[in-house]
Amino acid sequence: MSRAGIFWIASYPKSGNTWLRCLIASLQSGGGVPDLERLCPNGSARNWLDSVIPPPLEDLTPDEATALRPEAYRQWATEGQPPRCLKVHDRYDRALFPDEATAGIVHIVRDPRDVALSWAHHMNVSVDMAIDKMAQEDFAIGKARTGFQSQTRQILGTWSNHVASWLDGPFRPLLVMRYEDLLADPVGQTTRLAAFLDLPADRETVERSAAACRFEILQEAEAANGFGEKQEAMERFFRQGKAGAWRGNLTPSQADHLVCNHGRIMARLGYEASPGPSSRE
Amino acid sequence: MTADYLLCGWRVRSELPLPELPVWPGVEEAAEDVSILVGPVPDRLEACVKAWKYLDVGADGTVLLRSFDRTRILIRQGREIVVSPDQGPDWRLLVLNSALACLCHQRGVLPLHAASLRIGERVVALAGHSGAGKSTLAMALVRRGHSLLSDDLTVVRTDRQTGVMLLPTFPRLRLWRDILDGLNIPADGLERVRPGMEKFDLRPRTEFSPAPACLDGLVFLGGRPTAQPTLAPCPPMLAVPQMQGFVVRHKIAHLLGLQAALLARSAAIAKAVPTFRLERPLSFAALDRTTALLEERFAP
Repeated sequence: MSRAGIFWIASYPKSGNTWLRCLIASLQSGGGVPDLERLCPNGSARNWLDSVIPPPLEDLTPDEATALRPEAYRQWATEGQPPRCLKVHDRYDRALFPDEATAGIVHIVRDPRDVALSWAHHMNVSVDMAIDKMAQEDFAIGKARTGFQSQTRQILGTWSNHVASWLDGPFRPLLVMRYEDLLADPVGQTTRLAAFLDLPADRETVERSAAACRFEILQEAEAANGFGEKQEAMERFFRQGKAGAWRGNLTPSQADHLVCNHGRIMARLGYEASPGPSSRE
Repeated sequence: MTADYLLCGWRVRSELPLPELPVWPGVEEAAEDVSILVGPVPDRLEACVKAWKYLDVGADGTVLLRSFDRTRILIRQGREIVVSPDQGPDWRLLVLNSALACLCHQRGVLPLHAASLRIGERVVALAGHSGAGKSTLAMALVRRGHSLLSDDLTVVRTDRQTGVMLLPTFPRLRLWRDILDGLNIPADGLERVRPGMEKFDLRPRTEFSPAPACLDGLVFLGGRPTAQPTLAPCPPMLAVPQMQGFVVRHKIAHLLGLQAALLARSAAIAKAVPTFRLERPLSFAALDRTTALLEERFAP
C-alpha cells in the first residue's frame, strides 16, 4: 500500500465517523484515550483548508471555497506523517477527491433507520424531516449563505446514492466497515482498521484502543472537556451509541418509508427490512 | 489620482482610492513608508520557495497573490504593494487584508486575527478564528461607546524601547446578515463585502485614534458556548502557542523564514501584555453580559 496520499474517512453523517477518528487517534497514541480536540481534521473545515493552502481572500463564495478543496488535498497528501486521515461527509466525487491525493478509503456505514434518528437529534429537526433529507437528491450541508460557515458546502445526495458512490467508486483500496459490527466486535473491527491504515495492529494496542473508545469513555471525555463538533442545540454529541435504537423510536411507517427509499442498498449492506415494533406485537 | 493615507501609523501613498483609511494628517515632507502602485505584475514569480494556485512566495521574500477575479498583487520589501492594471473588484479586499498581512510580515510586525478596541482607556485585542464572533463582540462594544481600532486584522509591534504597541488600521466592521439581524441593524444601504455575498461593511461613527498605542490586553475568544461569560487569565506558556495560531498568513511567514521571529514576537507579547481566555454564551441575548464582563476588567 502506498504511504503517500490521504485516507478518506468517509461516511454519511451520524454513521460512526467520529468513532473511527477516535480509534485512529487512540491507535496512533498506542492505545490511550483520544483527545477529542485532536482528532483527524474535517476535510471541509475552512480553518483547516486555510492552514493548508492560504486563499488570497478571507471572504470566499461557496464555489471558491469548494474550489480550494482538491488543491488543499493535493498539497496535504505529501505533508506531515502518514497515515494522513481526513473526515469527509461528501458523496464520492473523483474531481473533489483526486486519485493522486488518495491513499485509500475507509467507508463506515450504519443502518439508515438509526441514522435517521441520530441525524434528527443532530440537526434538531423532526425524524420525518430527517427521513426526507435522506431521500433528497440534492441534499447538501454547509450551504447557508446568510452567516459564517465553518465548513464548505458538502453535497451528500440521498443516503443510498451517498453510500453507493463510495462503495462503487473506482478507487481502491477501500475498507468498508459497519457501525453495528464495530459495536459487536470492537477488537476484531479495530484490528481491520489498524491493519488497513498501517497503524499498530498488535492485539494489546488494539484492545487498549477499543477499550479507550468505548462509548461511555467518549461520553465521559465529552462531559469533562466538551467537544467542539457538538451543535449548540444538542445536549451532547455522544448520545446513545446503540444499534437498533430505531426499533423503539421510529413509527412503523417511518421505518417502512426508509426501507422503501433505501431497501436495495440496505440489503447490499446486510441490513434486513425486518419487521418494526408494530409487526412484532 | 494619488492620495496619502494613514495606516498602522505609516504614511501610505496610494494610486488607488482607499476610502476606508484616514487621510495622512502629518507633514508634507515626511517620507512615505508604503507605496500602493498600479503596474505590471507577473503571472508567476521566477524564483519561488513555494507556488500555490493562488500565491507564490519568492526566494527574495516577495509575495505574489492571485485572486479569483484575476487581480494580481505583488508585495515586496515591506514597502511596496503593486496591483495589476487589469484588477477586478477584489483588489481592495486583497490590499487591506492578505496583502497587508504579507506587508506586516515583511516589515517585522505581527498581524493577528483579532479585532481591537479602546475599552475605556485600555487598548484590547479580541483574537479568534473566522466565525468566532470577533466582529459581533466588537460591534456590541462599539454600541456601548467604545472605539474601534481595527477589525479582522490587528497589527502589533514588539519593540524593546516602546514595549508592545498596537498599530490601528481603520474603523470598519464586516458583519454577516444573520449577525446584523440579531443586532437589529438594518442592512439597507450597507455595501456588500463582495457582490452577491450576504456580508456587509459597516463604518461605525465612533472616534478613531490612528496613533499607535500601548496594547493593554489580549483576549482569546473560546469557541464552546458556556452558560455564563468567564474571563480567565491565560498563562504565557499557553498564550504563546495560541497566539501563533492566530497569526494571519502564518504559513507565508514560515516560508519567509520568520518562524523564530514569530515565536519571539509572540513570547514578547505574552510576557508584556495580560492575556485572557473568554468563554461565553453565544446568544445575542447574552451579549450584554459579555460586554459588561470586559468593561469590568478593562474599564472599571
